[in-house]
Amino acid sequence: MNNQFFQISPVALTIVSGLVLAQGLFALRPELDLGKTIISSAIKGAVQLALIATVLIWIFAHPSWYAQALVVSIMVFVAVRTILRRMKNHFPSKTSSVTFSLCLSVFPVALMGVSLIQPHFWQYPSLFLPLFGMILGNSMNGVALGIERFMEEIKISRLGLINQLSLGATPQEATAEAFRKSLKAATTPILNTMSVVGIVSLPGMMSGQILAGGSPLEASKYQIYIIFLVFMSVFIGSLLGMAMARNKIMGPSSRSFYTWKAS
Amino acid sequence: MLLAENYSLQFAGLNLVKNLNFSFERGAVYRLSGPTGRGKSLFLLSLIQLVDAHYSRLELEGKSCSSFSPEAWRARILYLPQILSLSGEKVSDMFSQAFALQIHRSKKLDYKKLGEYLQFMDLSPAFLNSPVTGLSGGEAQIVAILRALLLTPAIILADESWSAMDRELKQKIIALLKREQGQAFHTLVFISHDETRYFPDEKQFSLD
Repeated sequence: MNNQFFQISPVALTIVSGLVLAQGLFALRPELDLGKTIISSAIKGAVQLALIATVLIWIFAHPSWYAQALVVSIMVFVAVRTILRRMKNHFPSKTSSVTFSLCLSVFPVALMGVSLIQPHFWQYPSLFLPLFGMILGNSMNGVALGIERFMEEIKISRLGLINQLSLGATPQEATAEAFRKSLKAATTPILNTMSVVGIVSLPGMMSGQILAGGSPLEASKYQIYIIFLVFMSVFIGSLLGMAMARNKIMGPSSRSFYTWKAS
Repeated sequence: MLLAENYSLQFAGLNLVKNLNFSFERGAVYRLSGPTGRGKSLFLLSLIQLVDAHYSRLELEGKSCSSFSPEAWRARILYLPQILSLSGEKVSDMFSQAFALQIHRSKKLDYKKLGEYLQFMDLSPAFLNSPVTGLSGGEAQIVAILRALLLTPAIILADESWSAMDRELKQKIIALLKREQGQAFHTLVFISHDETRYFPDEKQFSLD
C-alpha cells in the first residue's frame, strides 16, 4: 500500500502562512474591514497549536496521570466557559447545570471508549488525549444546542406552560413537547454526520490518520467508533442538561415559574 | 374550605398582600375586587403555587398545603388563566388531554355530563369536532369552564373567565356554574371587570 507519511516543510508552512497574512493585510482596507480579525485569528490559531504541540510532546515523554488530568480539566473548563458565553438565556445555576451535564456525559463515555481500546490508557496519553479532546469538542456543541433550544422553547410556550401547569400537569408533562424538540436539535448534527460520513466528506480524524500513514480500514474503524462515542455523549449530556435546566426553572413546585424571565 | 394565615405576596418589590388572614368557605362565591393591575391575578396564581407567597398556614379541607404535591393541589384548586392557551386539534382534544394527565388518571371524562353541559349552553355535539383554531374567544372560555367542571375540583379560581362572552352567553354560563355548585365544585372565586351582580350572594374579597 502506498501510504507514506509526508512532513510539512518549513517552506510550505511559510508560504501558506505568508499568503494568509498578505490577505489579512489586504483586508485591512476600510471597504473590507476584516483584516484585524483575519490576522488575530491566524496568529491565535498558530500560536495555540504550537503551544499544544509543545505540551503534548512533554506529556508523551512523561506520561503521568496527573499531567493528563490537568490538561483534561483545562479543556473542560474552557469548554464550559465557551458554552456559557454563547448561551443567551439565563437560568438559576446554569453554570453547574452545564458543567455537570458535560462532565457526566463526556467523562464516562470517553473513559469507557478509551479503556475498551487500552485498559491502561493513562500510560498512553497519545491515545487518551486526542480521543478525549474529540469527544469533548464534538459534544459541547450538541449539549449547548439542546439546552439553548430548550430555554427558547420554554420562553416561547410560556403561556401554554402556565395553562398546562394550572390544569395539574407535572413539569415533565408540560415541557414534553419542548424536550422532544430540543433533543432533536441537539442530536441532529451528529446524526447527520453519522448518515453521510464517508460519502459527503472524509471526516477530519480519518483524513488525519490516513495522512499519517495509517490503513484506511483502521481509520474507518476509529472514525465510526468516535462518532458513536460522540453521539452517546451528546445524547446523555443534552438530556441531563435539559432536565437540570427544567428542574431549576420549574423547581420542585414551579413556584416561581410565572415570574421567571429568561434574561 | 381554604384557610390561610399571615399570607404575604410580593411582586416587583411591591407588597401586594401583607399578612392577610382569610378563608374561602364551602358553597360560597367570592368576587376578588380591587383596582386594575396584576395584583389580583398574581394572588390567584400564588394560591396555586405558580407565584411564590409566604404564609404561616395554608390548608385545604383541613390538610396543609405542604402535604399535597403541586399537581394534587392544583387538581383541587383549579385556576382558569386570564389568557387561555389552546391545545390539540379538535375541541374534544382539549378535554381528553386534560384527563390524560397523570394527576387526573383516576378520573374518567364523563362524556354524558359533557353532552348535558353542551346542551345547556345551546351548543351542538358537533362542537366537539370543530377545530381548535376556529374557536372564538368566548367559545374558548366556555371550553375552559366546562373542562373545569368536569375535573370536579373543590375550588374554581376564574380569572376574567367570561370577559369575551356576550351578555347571553355570560348569563348561561353563570347559570350553569350556579347549577353545578355543590356538585361539580364547591367554591368559586372570580375576577371580573363586569360589575353586574350575577351571583346574588357573592361576597366581596379585597386584598387589603
